[in-house]
Amino acid sequence: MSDQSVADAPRFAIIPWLGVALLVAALGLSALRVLSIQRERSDPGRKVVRIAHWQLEQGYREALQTVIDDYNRLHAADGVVVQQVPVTEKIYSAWLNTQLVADEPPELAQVGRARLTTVAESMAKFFVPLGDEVAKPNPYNRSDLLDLSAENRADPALVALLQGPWVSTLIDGMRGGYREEIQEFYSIPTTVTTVRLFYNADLLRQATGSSAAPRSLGALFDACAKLRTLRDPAGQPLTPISGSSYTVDMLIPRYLSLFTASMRLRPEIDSDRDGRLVQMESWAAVHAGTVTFDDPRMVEGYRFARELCSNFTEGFAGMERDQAVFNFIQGRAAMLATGSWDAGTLFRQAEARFTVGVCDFPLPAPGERWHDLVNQRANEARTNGGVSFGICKASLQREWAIDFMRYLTSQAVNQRFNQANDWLPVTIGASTSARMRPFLPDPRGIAPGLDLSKGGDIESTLNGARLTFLSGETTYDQFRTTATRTLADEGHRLWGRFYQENRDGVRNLERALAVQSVRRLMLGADADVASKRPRVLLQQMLLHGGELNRLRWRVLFPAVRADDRGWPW
Amino acid sequence: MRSVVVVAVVTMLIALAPSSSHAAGAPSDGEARLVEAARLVETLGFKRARPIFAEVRAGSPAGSARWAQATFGQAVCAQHIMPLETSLIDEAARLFQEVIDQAAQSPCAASACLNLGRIAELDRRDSRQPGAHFVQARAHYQQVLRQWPTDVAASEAALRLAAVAVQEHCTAMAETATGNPDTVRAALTVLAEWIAAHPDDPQVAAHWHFLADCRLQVLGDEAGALQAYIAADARGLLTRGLEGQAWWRMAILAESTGQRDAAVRYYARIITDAPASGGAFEAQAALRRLGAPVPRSPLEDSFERAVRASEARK
Repeated sequence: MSDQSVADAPRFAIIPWLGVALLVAALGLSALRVLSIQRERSDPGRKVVRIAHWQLEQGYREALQTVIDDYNRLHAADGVVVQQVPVTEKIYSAWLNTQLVADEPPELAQVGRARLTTVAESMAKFFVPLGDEVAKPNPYNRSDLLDLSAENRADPALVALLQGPWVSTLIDGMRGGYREEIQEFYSIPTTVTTVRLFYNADLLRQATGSSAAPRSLGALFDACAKLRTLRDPAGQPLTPISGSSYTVDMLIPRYLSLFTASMRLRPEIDSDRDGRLVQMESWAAVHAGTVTFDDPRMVEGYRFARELCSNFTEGFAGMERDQAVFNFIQGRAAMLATGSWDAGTLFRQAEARFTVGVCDFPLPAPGERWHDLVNQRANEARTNGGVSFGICKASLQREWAIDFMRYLTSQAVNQRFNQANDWLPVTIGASTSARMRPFLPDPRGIAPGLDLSKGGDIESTLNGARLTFLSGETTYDQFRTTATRTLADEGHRLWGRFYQENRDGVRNLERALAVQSVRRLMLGADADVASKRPRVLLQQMLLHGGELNRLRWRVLFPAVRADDRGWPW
Repeated sequence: MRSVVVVAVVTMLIALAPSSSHAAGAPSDGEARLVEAARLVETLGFKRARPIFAEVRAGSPAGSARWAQATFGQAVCAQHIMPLETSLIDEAARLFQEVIDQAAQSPCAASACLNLGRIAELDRRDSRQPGAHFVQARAHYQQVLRQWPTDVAASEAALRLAAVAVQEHCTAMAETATGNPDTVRAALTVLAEWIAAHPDDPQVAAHWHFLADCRLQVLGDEAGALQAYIAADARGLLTRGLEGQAWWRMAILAESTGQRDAAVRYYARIITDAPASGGAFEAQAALRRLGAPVPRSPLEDSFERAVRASEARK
């Protein structure tokens, strides 16, 4: 041992103790925190309502805090204190599941990400059913509390609607909070969301001489070509559209579905003739060859998609959403496709740099390429409410939690909250800020075409092949070969998968029927059961135990033996 | 010393607490325990409710009203505890059968018999005897109709009988290509006769809708399907939030069977009564094509009003 190391020995000897000291300090702090929360919760004079969410976008917390502060002032005499608990998206699920299982959840929790807030059984176990509550009027929609535009004020039907049952005061009739499997409302939506094209109006003006949004697909491609001639802040050629795998998901299925929209009217594809193509019908069509990848609508749809993606950031297939947003904010790309949930962040971050414009996705104008195949936008009439909150059963302050949700979704407050946050209000009669106007769900337009989602492994393989094709790494022929081969090899499994989904649906609804039997026979809930049971019963009957899918499969594939394909029935 | 006494007293109180609460919930208020268990079932708490039902059942005279309720409740729980287990399904079937055998006059008996049919249909599939579960289920549904014809369960049994025939046909077609649409036609005729005999049954809209669906999707009978859909619609469609899709289907069927007025009526309803279904725009186009008046969609009005309101705020 050298002299130096002997001199250093005592210094290094402290290091393990430093670790222990840090550990003790951390434990002490945790204990203090736990104790203070417990004291807060057990203080009879203080009614704490915690609202947990993962919305860490810029402006959300501030807007929510303003609403909370107003509410806390309004109910100061009642001792009510609402507190927000923002939790990062990455750990929200694990955090909330733990809180729910430990019986110490927040009073209000954003639903949708944590498993215990997505499975019907868990919702029923951990959250308060809201059917009775949403049938009552919202007291915060009293005439003197409304903040209506002059035109809306003059509409007595609208005012009457706002003072009717809470459920009818939201744009989607609270569909976003309704659980079909258990026929009950379990959460309250606070906003609606749509997807649009954001653009850097300054760069667009520089490139095209106008900051107006491209009005047609031809104008968009023309603008992209001109934008390419500009340089980004690093002196590199400007990217017209900020790309990422997320952008592909936002843009491409939307357009492809327009290319295939007319297929909806073919009875051999829309087998239940309801005017909508659900996933099973869509996959059945491509698997059975009713729709092939040689169909001009498919070929042209994918050609268009490839051409659009040629304007994306190089290497977009390996990029994530955050990178796409960053490139747009930094002025390295002129356009970005994302949802209204990002609007506030983008408006604020771009504020000192450039003017943000927003437009709907342009369509081919008459005379432009693809106009014969795509000439109507997809409507957004079925837009459901989102960012929904459920009231946790273990909450000590259920009544106040429900009351806060009434406040948050009242016409005046929902308007103020979503305007401050640059989101879209969910309450009827609540107007949006001027810059959010382009995001308003537009009910005009056609219903979408093929929906090739929920296809499990097959969908993943096809999406992978699509991404390499869109990146320019493979040809359409190669993509078509992969897609056709995958469907031929694996497609039968999809039928088994949807069959199993139907069977699970039947089982879930059987539980709902069992609950209703018990309520009728033991709790005297005859009237309520009489009104609900036929709905559940019919819903279950229309699944036909999954057997109708099997019949369709047999009709389409008369020569295939089920057990040859290893499917699960 | 004083603190030791305090700790001892607190410990004794804690130790006594469960026994005192048990005393409060003892056999004398089996009714309250029954309600407690039923409330647990309301929130899908089958696992926690099962022992409470079992306790009430054990404390009630066999065949009594409370015994029947508790036995039925315990069976329902055993049938629905997840994950499903054969032993639990067996327990459920045994208990439902006990209700039928020992308390046939109880309001629970018909539902118990119906549930035996459900167990046969959902949980007794045997790949070595394909279709055997349908035979068992049919027998239970027929028993409900025979033994409790006026119970609310009879209405459901009539529907289930038709559904068994449809599923049996689909299964036979899929597995051995031996299905026979005539058996489906016969079963649907029986269902139609039941509907005719019970036109005011509270669940009859479901019967009409199911009949229509089977006529269309299994038999390809468009005119017959439309007729049944119209009857279901007259009683109020039960597909909450999906009325627009049902009316679209009815309009399409009316057009393809040459019933223009009916087509116009249902396209118009999509626009005025189901504007959020996503079909209003195309229904307007269809009405234009048929040369009929085209109503405005209330959703379009409210969209335009929202645009004007936000412009006014600029």
